[in-house]
Parts: sequence; C-alpha cells; structure tokens
Amino acid sequence: MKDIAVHIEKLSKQYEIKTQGRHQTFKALDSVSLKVERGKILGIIGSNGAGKSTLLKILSRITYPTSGRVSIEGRLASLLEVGTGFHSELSGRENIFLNGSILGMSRQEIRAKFDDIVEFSGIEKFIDTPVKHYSSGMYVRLAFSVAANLTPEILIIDEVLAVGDAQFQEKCLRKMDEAKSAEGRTILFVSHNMTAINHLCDEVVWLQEGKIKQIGEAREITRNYLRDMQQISQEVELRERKDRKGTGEAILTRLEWLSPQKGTLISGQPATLKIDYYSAHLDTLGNIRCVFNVFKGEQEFVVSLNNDMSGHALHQVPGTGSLYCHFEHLPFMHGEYTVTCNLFVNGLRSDRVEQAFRFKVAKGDYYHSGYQSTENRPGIYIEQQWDATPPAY
Amino acid sequence: MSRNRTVITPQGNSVSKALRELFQNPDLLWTFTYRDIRVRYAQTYLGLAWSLIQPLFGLAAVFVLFFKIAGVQTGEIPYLSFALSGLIFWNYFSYVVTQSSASLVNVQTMIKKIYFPRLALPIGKSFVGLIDFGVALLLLFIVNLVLGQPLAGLLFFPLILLLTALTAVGIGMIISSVSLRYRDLQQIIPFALQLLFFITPVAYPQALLSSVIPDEWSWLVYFNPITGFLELFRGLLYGGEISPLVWISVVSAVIIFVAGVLFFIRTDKKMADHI
Repeated sequence: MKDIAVHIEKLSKQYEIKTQGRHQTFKALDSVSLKVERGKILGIIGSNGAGKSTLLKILSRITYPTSGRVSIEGRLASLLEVGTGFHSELSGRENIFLNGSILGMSRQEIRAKFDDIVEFSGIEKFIDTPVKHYSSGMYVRLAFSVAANLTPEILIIDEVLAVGDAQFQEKCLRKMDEAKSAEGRTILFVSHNMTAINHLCDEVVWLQEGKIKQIGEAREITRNYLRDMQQISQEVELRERKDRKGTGEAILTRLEWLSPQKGTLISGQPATLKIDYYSAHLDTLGNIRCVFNVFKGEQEFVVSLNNDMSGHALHQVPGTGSLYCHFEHLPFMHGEYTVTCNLFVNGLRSDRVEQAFRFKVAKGDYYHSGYQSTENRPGIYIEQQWDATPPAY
Repeated sequence: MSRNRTVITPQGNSVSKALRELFQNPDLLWTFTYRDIRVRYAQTYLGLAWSLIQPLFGLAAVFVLFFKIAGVQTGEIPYLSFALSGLIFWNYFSYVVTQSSASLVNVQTMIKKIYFPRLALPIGKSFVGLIDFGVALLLLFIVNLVLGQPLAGLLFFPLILLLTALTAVGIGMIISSVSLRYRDLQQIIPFALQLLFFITPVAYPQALLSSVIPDEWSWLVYFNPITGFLELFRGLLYGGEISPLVWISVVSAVIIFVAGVLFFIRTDKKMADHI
C-alpha cells in the first residue's frame, strides 16, 4: 500500500465577492482531488488565478475550504513568502527563533538546528544585526534556511526561489533534493520556473481555473503547459502558417493586440487589433475587406469584425502595411477567444487562416457600473438602456 | 512511528484542538512575548524607565484632578496609596485590552501567510504587560513603605492580577477578531477605556460611585469586574469591608474570558478571508 502524506478529496473554495452591494461568488478551487505520496516532490503550476495559492493556503490552514476534506499525515510547515513572521527590529538570531516558533518548532528543536541554519544561510557575520539592516538577498537566505533546516515532514514552498541570487537558488534546490532523498520529506512546490519544476519534481499538477487540468510526469506536464501558454498571447506570427486558403495575392503576416495596459486586454478599456499584411507583387491594394470571426472555444461563433460591414471601406491601401481595428471600449467579456481571419482583395478571397490567433480578455468594468463579471464567460457586452418609460414607437 | 494527523474540513478547528495546539507549543507564547518586549524597548533611550514614568505621570494626574481639584476623600488611607493600588491594575487592564485588541490587525500579513495558533497573539499580550505591572507594583511597595501603609496584603496581587488578565484578554479576544472585519472598533477602544476609567473606582472610593446609584441597584456596579477586583484588593491590603457581591465580578470575568476564547476560535477559520 502506498504511503500517502497528503490526501485531498473534492476540495472546493468559494469566495463571496461584494461589489457595490452585489454578492457574487467566485470559485477559486473547484472539486480538486489529489494524493501525494510520502517522500515525493509535487510541483504545482498554473497561470495566475488558477487556484495554486488557494490550495496552498488551505493545506497550510490559513484559510478553510468551503467543501471537501484534506488529511495530512505528519507535521506540515509552509514557506509561503519570505520574511513573513520576521520582525525588522530583531536580530537574525532572534528572528530564527521567532520564525521557527511560528512554523511550529519548539525552542529546543531550533537550538539543536541553530548552527546548521546559520551556516546554510551564509550570514554568520550579521547574525546579531537587526534584520532591518539586511539586504533583501540576506533576508531571503535567512528565511529559507530556517524553513529548510527545520524538519517538518511536509514542506510547502511557494515561489521563494524566485528571489535571491543564482548561487543561493542552486543551493536551495540541492537542499530540497537532499531532504527528499535522505529524510523522506514530502514537498509541495509552487513555481513559475519550469526548469526548477522539471529538475525537482516527481509529479506535476497543472491547475486551471480552480480545477486540475492535467496531472502526471513533470516533463510532460510542463511541456503541455508551456505550449498552452504560448498559444494564448497578445500577438501571433502568421507568416509561417502553411494551412491557409485563398489566392495569396496578399497575406496576413502578423496580428497583435495593442492596449494602454501593455499587453493585457481588459473589458471596457481601449484596445486596438493591429493586422500586418504583405503582398509580394502589388504596390497598392484596392477594396480590402477584412473579416475576422471571433469564436469562443474553437467552434462557437461570437462576433465578426468586418470593416465593410461596419462601414469602414478601405479602397486604396499600400501593398504591404498594417490595418488597425480600434475599440474605444473593448466589448469582449472575461474569457478566451480564437480568431479565424479572412482577407478579401477586390472581392476575391486572398487569404484565410483558421484559428489564427488565441487571445484572452481580463475582466473589467465595461459599463462603468461597478459590475465586473468574475466568471470566465466569453461573450460580448452590448449597449443597453433601462428605465420605466415606454418607447415612442 | 507516530505521526500527527491533521484533517482539514470546512468546519475549521474545534475548541479542544485549538487549545491543545496552543499548549503543545508553549514556546510560541514565550516567543511572541519576548518579541513584543524587545520591540517595545528597541531604539528607546529610556528603555525600561518608561515603565516607571507612565504610572508616575498617571498618579500625578489623578492626584491633581481627583484629590486637589475635586477633593476626593479616601478616609484613613493616604490618597497616593489608595490611587496607586487601583492604578497598577487599571493600567495593566488598559494596556492588555488595547494591545490584545490590536494584536491581529497589527499582524495581518502574517495571518494571511502562515498558520499558527492565533490565540497566542492576544494571550501573549497579557504577559507583555507584566513588566509594566511589576514596575508599578514596586512603586506601590515603595510609596506604602514611605507612607507607613500596610505591605503584607500586597502578596495577594497574583490573584487580582489573574482575574484582571482574564477579563482583559477575554475582551481583547473578542475585539481583535471582530475588528479584523470592522476596523471601527479600533477607534472606539480609547474612548471606551476612558469612559470606563471614570465609572470604575480607580482614583476615587467606591462609596462615591454607589452614592449616585439607588441602593437597590448598587449590585450593578459589580458587573464591571475591575470594580469588584479593586474592592477586593484594597480590602485585603488596607483592611475594610469586602462586599460578598464581589463574586459577581469574579463570575463576570470568567464568563468574559470563556466567551472570548469560544468566540475567537469560532471566528478563527475566517480570519484570513476577512483581511
């Protein structure tokens, strides 16, 4: 029988969000089930808001689930953010005791490990200096050293390795490796650093929108994750796509979303779709028609962006150049979209690329009403007026 | 190999589990206390002397206001001995209520990031206050020695101190967890304590308070536990009548404390979500 250190059963966490008196619920975790064997290192990956932090918070008992159950065999300590539970007025030595106690160790245990901690951190000289005089690097070293040297059977690590110099990072990774093999310690490790994840983890779970998207061998999952991340972007090169249709008189070479928020698309905020095209033979193009059909998922039609239909005829444009589709208030709702592009020149289809582009829109206050849909629900905001007056017709 | 197993469910911690965790690691209480004491005196020139300056100023203030200006009479007990015997407990009470009430709000980041038995925060403040109390008690000893007042009754201080601590921590536990959601409470505490100071016989004898309340209602004053405790302490120290109604104060203190612990543990699981 496998020795299970952490057993998560149908764990859900729902947050009530109150915006202008309206209650909305938001599922940060949605029925997640997972088993972690003793002595294994489990990597947790996912984009921001995928539920990684919520999961760790529940495991470390900072917050409680809305439903579901976790059973943890053995003492668990979490290193969620460096320096939490440090006091700047106290010396490094005092902070080791303070931090250790908060992490659940007795003074005796800390004393036994004290020399190891100090040596590992490499800041022996400053151990009696108040930590407010430490550099941020020293801070990180000390904090990590405390958690790494104290010996919980299960350790939770969230992104701490993102800070600190490369050499110390390497040292931490080695220490984690040692801990795993020698002491049989179970580690749950959240990181955006795929190299570290691949290097350390036996198994990786990929969370997306509060659910487990994939779970399995580290390399495979990180590869899938990275591929997925690249597909959703604010720009895409189309030049290399071979699967296109049309006469090829002029072709679409690149699409990019421009926004004042530097790459983030937010509902209701200004945004511009920049369309680069290229013609090998023509200096000018007459009667251009762009038809960009936007889908939710891959099949479901949402809306068409069409310069002709919207009354913006483009009679004469350079043979190679850029077109812009401007939105004063981006009407896309929070969610992911794919675009299939068509370019017509003089009424003939010149180029067509299916699923040319995937983009993501973040939630925003489209109507300036204070209302923000928290749900990921692709769709379109439309103008609407409400009152109690009957219309004139 | 015995391992401790933790089960996390939506119900959160049970009362017994929360208490067990607190006592399993008593070092945490000690560490918090040590931290607060160190931080309090860090980068101060006068350091520990502040613990003496504060009761001295307090004593001087009530001496002028209540004795010189208002002409409060304390019978055979010199006013200074009388007032100081009340002030030492009042100052401790006021310090612990203020500090423990703010104990969660002040470490919000920590609550959001790390789990630890949170009860240690408000309870720890009752230990921090002991330094000031010790210095003030010493001051009372000296004043009584100089003025030729009784000293033996001072030995009863642990009893009164314990009762005062229970009351203060009980109040602190309730206010600290509620004020994570409603910060307004933090604003009210100074006013509330000031008001309470004037309706508690700290700087004037209880007879003065009772004289404005109809006789049949006089037992009401004992619902303010500090009233009863001061009567008890002064009775033990200087002699004089101790009303059996002091029991009301003792029972109130215990109820406040138990209610505080239960309330605190009940709200514990939602703390991080409310920040």
